[in-house]
Amino acid sequence: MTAAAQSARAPEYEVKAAFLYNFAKFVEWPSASLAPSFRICVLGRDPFGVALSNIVQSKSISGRPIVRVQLQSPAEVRLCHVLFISQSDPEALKQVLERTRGLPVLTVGESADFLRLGGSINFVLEQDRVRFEINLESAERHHLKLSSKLLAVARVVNVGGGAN
Amino acid sequence: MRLRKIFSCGLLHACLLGFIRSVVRAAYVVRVFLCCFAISIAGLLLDTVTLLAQTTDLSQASLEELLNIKVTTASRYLQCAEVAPSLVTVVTANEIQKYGYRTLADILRSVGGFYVTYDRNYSHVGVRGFNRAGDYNTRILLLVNGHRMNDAVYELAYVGTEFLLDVDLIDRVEVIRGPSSSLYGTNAFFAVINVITKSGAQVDGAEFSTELGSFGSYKGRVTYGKQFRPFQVLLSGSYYTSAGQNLFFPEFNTPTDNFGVAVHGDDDRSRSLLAQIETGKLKLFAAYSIREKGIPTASFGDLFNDPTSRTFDGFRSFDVQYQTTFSRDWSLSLRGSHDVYTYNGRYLWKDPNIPQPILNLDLARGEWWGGEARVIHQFFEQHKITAGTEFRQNLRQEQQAYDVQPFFMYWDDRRSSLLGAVYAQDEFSLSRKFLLNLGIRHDRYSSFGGTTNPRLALIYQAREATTLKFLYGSAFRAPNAFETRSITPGSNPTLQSETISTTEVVVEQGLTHHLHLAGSGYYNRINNLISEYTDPVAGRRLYRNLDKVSSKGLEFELSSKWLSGLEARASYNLQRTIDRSTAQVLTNSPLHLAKLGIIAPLPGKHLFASMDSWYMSRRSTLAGSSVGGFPVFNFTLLSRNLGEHVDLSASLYNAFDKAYADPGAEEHIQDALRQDGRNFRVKLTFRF
Repeated sequence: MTAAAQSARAPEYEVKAAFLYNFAKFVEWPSASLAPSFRICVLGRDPFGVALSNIVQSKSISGRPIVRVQLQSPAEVRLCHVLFISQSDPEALKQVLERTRGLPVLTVGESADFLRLGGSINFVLEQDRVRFEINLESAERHHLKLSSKLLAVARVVNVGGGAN
Repeated sequence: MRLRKIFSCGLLHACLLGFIRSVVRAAYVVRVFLCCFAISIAGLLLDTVTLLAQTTDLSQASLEELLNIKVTTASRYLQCAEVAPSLVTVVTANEIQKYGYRTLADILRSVGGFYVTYDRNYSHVGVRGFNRAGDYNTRILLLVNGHRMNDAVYELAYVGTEFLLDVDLIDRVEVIRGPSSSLYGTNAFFAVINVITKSGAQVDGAEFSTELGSFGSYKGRVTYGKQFRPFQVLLSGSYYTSAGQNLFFPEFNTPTDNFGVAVHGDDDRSRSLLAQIETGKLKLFAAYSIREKGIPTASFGDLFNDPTSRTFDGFRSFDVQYQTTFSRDWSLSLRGSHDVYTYNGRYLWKDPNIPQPILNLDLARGEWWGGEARVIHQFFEQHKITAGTEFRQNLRQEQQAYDVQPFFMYWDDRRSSLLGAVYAQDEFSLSRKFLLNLGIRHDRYSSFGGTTNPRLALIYQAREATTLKFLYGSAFRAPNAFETRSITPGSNPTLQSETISTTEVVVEQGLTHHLHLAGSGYYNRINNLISEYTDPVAGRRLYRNLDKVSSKGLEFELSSKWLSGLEARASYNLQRTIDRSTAQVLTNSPLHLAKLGIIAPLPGKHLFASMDSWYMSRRSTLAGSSVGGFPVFNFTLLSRNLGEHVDLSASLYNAFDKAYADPGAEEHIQDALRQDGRNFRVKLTFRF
């Protein structure tokens, strides 16, 4: 049962994993964050299984190999370029997003409150397709430049003054 | 002795040798393996092609292309954990490490409603007040990655040091309460325990682990796990030895019996090997284990304080599983498996008329193979249909018990049997709030006929944080080869399946963002319970469908997790399980059962402290007496990533040295068996 249910769920996260890789391609990080490797981190429950590792394996971003990292604690977020948070509990999300404040980290989530709480990109499912919303203000606060290509296919959301 | 030799010739080598030997041994085994290999190779080809195609496609896909790909999700209306038609508890690798669990029995002790009794030979799992003293551990179904582990002779779930796997290799243990015969068939009576192993990518490198504990206990483990796209490989070998304690049994406190002290009679040794290769859809699993345990209790009237009496339990398991999704709404899973279980019991006893002690050998060998196919199809968004078929051929179910000198054969029973089953389940989303889960399975045994078991669950998501479940289900346990063996002189009773029907109401409530409360009220009605009795004519212990039992209870489970790393779980069970003909509470059935576990991160990097505790109220024993209620507290301190590569933990079990006992069985002179006092373990794991 369980295993079968998982295999049925996998494709959604294969697609989301591919999106994470594309975000890395179409976002520009400040030069200060040029670590030897490009790190895509997952915090909390890992819904990707092997999908994310498969996607990023032997790929690179501006000459740096992509590394997929499972974080043990929110304190490690500063080491990430892309941070995926599967957590949907607003209080916990707020805590984590608080820790990324001002850091050059692209936060990606998949819950209703994600952008309002200060996240940058949020996945939504629409008619069985993966879409994403962008909070431009948040991306700017993290000193990230999003390419026009990305913005063209995203839904840009204005969360107003409510964001922290 | 032969086993020791195997171990010394290298982990992988030994593993291969073992399997090659079994392949060479008999033609039908070759057939089994050919079948398994056929599935694996076909699967592998398909898998490699699709996997490569898929991943290349997806990672090369443009943003626009990605936006147009349709995706499948787990469950359209409700989330996975809530959708399970019963109360499910998951214990993760994280908890196993932080709570310092040493065996699967330790893990199950922490689960609400579960209790484990130990007779210094095997561990017996009780669920919701049912764990009659002397019963074999046959009423839970134990799975490893969905592969049945209950053996083909006794159908026991082995959860102590004789369990197939080192607990360090477990990714998670899913505990599904309630009757699940509608999906899994026999033994899924009180609960299904599914142990899921880690993947090679999760281990990602080499691990060397060593531990040292009280009673002269040592354990070593070497594991290698890696991802070589598209494969993931996991190889592991473990060795455990424990000298055991010099135990005092007041029942034997005479000068001829060393004043009741069994010197070094509690020794325990086990070895296990695991090899696992998987791609996204195909999983090959091979495992081998052997456990040797000294019996200090002088069970079955054996000589006291003599190290001859001991049991050996060995497993060889092979499993290949293939899972794929065809389109958005079709998924298929196939499984082929082959298992061998060997039991070798040596018991030394004394006939007052013969000067020499007599060696009694009790031997069993079970060998079985089987296949399973399951299709899941999503119909019109509202129906998720699962349909499957399973067959199992017990190639050998052999049991012999005899005295060596003077020779006397108690039984020599060799048989084989066949089982086939079909099942179907529909998860029907009535609306966004209601989900109906209907399942039914028919099993047909070559030995005693057929049985049909339904399960019905209505799941109602009342509010976002509130889920209500109404469940009804029945389950069965087929009489096993041991219970139906023919005894000379004696009879071969025509046993029927024992049955259970369960009615249950579950409420799951998210209290705050961090707290989750689950409550359940249940009523179990068990009929035709197979019980041991002494046949007055044959003078032998035989099995009959004798008892009727009913059980009602309440269960609460509170769990919480904070991102800081703080975790806690608490559970409480109130239950009353009675024999319907006498209205007496069953033996070894506590009225109250409470658990509390807390993991707290400490200041400093990756430092955790945990407390794992449980309380069990008084339980009655076979002699009509009782063992008192008791609390037990275990503490563990864990430092993770100490110097990047090292995990170090120290555990104190039964920290307050509480003296407590479990009820003994018919084979014991002791009415109660005292359990371990305060003991410790230090564990060091290196990762590279």
